[in-house]
Amino acid sequence: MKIRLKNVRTVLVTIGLIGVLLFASPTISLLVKTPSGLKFSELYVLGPNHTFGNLPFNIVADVNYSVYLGVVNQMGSSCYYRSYVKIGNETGSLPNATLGTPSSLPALYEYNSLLVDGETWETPLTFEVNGLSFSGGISSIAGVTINGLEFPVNLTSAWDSKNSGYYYYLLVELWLFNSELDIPQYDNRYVSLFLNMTQ
Amino acid sequence: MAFSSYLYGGHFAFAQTDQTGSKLQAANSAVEQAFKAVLEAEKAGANVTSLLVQLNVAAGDLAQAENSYQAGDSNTAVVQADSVLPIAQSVTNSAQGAQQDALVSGQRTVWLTIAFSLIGASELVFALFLVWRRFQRRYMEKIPGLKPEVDENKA
Repeated sequence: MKIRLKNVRTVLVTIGLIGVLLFASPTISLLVKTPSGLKFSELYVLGPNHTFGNLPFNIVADVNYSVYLGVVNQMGSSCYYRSYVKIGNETGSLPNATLGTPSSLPALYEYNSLLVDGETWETPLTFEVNGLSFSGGISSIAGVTINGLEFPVNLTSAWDSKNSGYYYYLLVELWLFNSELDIPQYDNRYVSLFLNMTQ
Repeated sequence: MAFSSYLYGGHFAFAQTDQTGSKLQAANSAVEQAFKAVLEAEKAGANVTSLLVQLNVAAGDLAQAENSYQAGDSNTAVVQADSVLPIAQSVTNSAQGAQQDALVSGQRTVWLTIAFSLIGASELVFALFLVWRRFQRRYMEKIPGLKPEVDENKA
């Protein structure tokens, strides 16, 4: 078997180039930043069994209802989240997903959570409607108890003949602390539970 | 800044001028500053998981204080807001220390990586050069003993 000098040199040069690239790759990885993936946050509500089933809908006064609220950080770095719980009636404003603006309703209750990238945070959210009354096709609620704290609301809702009910909604908005601007900003994520008040 | 953040948050349409409001603003600002320190430490390469666990306690207390205040229980809100400050301050200090350590460690890692690349690549090239020289020498030594070959088909 004949070995040509030129072939050996080609093989050695090839091995050399590949080896130099392999040895240089850790340094190259320090200098060249790979593009990061999609950055987003998740907000979800689950029923009392940690499923999408059995979410509260028909609500009776002074009965405690329980759901689970969750936030997932997929932003690529640690984040400081605030989840604001609001309650509204049929005429109350929902957040505007197109404009990215939050609901104008006042926040009754808030959660704070700081999550590292990829972390999931979940907490119980219990609520109870207080002072529910019905008169002349109008329902009214005097207050809402959230996680044991009572908040006055004084909301009314007329009978919805199309959907046969007195409808309110419980809203949770996700806000994110912007460390560059030093302010919390609405993250254009919200979940809402429609609640039908019953006697 | 904490006050402005409440306005942006749409929380309160009025200024928090009472003592409870001031305490809440101070607690809120302390948690935000601590988070920024943690974020800087994370950017420098520090592991901030344990710092965030501590800061979550402070942030949870802050939320409870806000909720108590919203529910009209100012006394509880003050106590809860007061419990936020020492934790947030401790996290800020730890985060600043972790950031410094991470920066020093990061610099060392960069130099070690560059040294690894340079020394490794140089040694590989040198080793291949030696192999080439040895092979070339042996090849040259064999040439005088070789007989010329004649391709009969071409002859």
